[in-house]
Amino acid sequence: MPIDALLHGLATLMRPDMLLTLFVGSIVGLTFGLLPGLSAITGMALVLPFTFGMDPLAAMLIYAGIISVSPLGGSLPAILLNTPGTPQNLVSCFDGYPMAKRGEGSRAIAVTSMSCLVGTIIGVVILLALLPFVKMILLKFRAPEIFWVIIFGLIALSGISRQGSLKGLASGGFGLLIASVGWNDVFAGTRFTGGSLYLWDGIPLIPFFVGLLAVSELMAMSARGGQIASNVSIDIEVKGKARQTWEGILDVILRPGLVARSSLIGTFVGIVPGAGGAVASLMSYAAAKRISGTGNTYGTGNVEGLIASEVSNDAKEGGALLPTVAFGIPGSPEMAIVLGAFVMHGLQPGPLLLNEHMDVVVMLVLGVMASQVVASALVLLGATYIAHLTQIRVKLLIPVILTLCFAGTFSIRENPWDIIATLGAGFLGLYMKRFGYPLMPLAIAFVLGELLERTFHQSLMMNFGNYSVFVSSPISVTLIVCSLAVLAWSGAGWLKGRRSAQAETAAELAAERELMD
Amino acid sequence: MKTDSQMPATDEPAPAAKNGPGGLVFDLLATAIFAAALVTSLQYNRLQGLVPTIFCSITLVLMIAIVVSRFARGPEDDVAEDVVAGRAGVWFVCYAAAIIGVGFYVAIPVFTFLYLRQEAQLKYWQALLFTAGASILLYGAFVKILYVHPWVGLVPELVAGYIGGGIAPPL
Repeated sequence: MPIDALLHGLATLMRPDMLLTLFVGSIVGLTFGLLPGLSAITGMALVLPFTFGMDPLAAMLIYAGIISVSPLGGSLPAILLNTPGTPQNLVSCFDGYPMAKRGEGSRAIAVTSMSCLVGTIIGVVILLALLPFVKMILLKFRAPEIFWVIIFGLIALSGISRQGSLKGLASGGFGLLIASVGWNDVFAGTRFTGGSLYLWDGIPLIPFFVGLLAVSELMAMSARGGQIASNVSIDIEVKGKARQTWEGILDVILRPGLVARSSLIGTFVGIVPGAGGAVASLMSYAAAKRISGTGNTYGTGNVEGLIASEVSNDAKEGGALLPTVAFGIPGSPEMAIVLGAFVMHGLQPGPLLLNEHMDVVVMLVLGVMASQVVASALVLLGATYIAHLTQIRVKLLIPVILTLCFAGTFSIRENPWDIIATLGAGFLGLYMKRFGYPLMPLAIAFVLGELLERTFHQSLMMNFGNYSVFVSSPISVTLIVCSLAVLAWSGAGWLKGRRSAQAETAAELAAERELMD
Repeated sequence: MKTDSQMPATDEPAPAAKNGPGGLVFDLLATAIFAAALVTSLQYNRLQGLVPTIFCSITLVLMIAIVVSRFARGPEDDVAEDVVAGRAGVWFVCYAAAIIGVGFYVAIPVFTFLYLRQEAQLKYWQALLFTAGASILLYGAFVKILYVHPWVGLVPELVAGYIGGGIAPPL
């Protein structure tokens, strides 16, 4: 990344309005990470309508704040209440909560804050170091290569899906279908509109995302009810808080090897498309436990376990930025929303983004780092008070957040039918999740569907309608092989799962027969 | 053991209700949608329908495989879960309908108050206080900060600029 672009970005970031935006993004990220049930994905979907009219650079700071800070927010209930705020904070419960129970809550929180800060910085530094090499590769990408990158991204996301590749791929296909609705510039015609004027421009992006990701989650929360976290009193040792905080900071500084290893694991897991959730923290935790001389104390309040999981959790975000900004393939579910945000701001995701909108990429990267600094300071100062937010009952929040969703989507085009689109997408998201269909492949396919079709037709036009253009370059062939490999791997995993399920059923039947005999 | 209310939100689908009758209905509906989309794609001219035909065909095959594997596994009962989700859905549909019909100025306070009384079981005065605070906050955020004029509703005009008289674009 050119130094002048970085310096220009830093100068822009120092403006008072940008710093305020950064602060707001950090607060939103902290809040949505803190409240179990409201993840960064929900927060990103919710802010999309409100950032629509903003300058793209300022909007990037909001998104960066949410993505970067939500893991830190999620670690607070994990440590204090044994309830992870976001799925990726699950591992923080293993050692963070035992530390809090024995009166070292302040130390655990300080460890988390410092780990998140260091992990983010290292992840971003690795990203910046790799970007010049990636840019060189990107110059060789033409329409056929971009086409296969999108296909690979969709297959990789679907294959990684826990519920198996069949439903993941079907979800991606559904996203492509939704993306096809409306007018298309390639052949100057509409498709799948049924004569509706509302669908002429296609399914609107923001109402669809808000409904699919935020409203569906609100419906599920309303159905589940209860309190966001269990009714456990939040008890942090007040005496010696300053000493514990200093100890926690030193815990991280005095373990450079552990921090470096965890950062590398997190960054490279983040680079793998769609590998979100707790993958990075689990891998880092397992590695630290294996290598450590005190591995048998992991899970009982060993500070190294907490450092390993938190550092990799945040380093992952830096890694996830690489495929997102370089290739238009989301490195994590949150990055999928960022891609949607790029489209919303008129920025075409994909290999050309780095060349044509470097300032936006720089602001996103700087925002990830700077918001972590802000949030770490806030958490160190006021963790106890912030954590009390988890005591709020879910049903008190729902009317406010739902109103924000509906009003936000209305505010984009001031079209009341967008509210219906939001609601419809909410039901779609709710029932897709309920019946085993992952949402991320659908969301990505929806965002990239138009680009996929455009590059398909461009490739054919380049080669006068000859399909050999799709296999004519080494990059294309490599991507095809990788896509087939992921399909084969996930297919093997599906078959193995079916055989295990059949074996389990057979074992259960045998056990029942024995009991009856 | 964590209860459902303590489980964090996740993009990953719930493990329950995968094999029940509701799931089968959903799969069959999705299969029908892709079949219809494929038939529609084939009716467009070559360029227009090429890409949709390809991915609709592939996805239709996947959906058929999913439906067949469901029959192979056999159904489980998931009615209870669907009923709970339905009640929340009714609230959300009514809220959206109220916004479209009578506009934000009426729908926000009415929905908030009724939801807090009925679902959150707040006392009368608590619900009223919360409703007033939330309504003022939202009004301030949208009108004064974002300069968005809230939708006034499709009903005939009752209070100029606040309730009724909205003109929606054609569907």
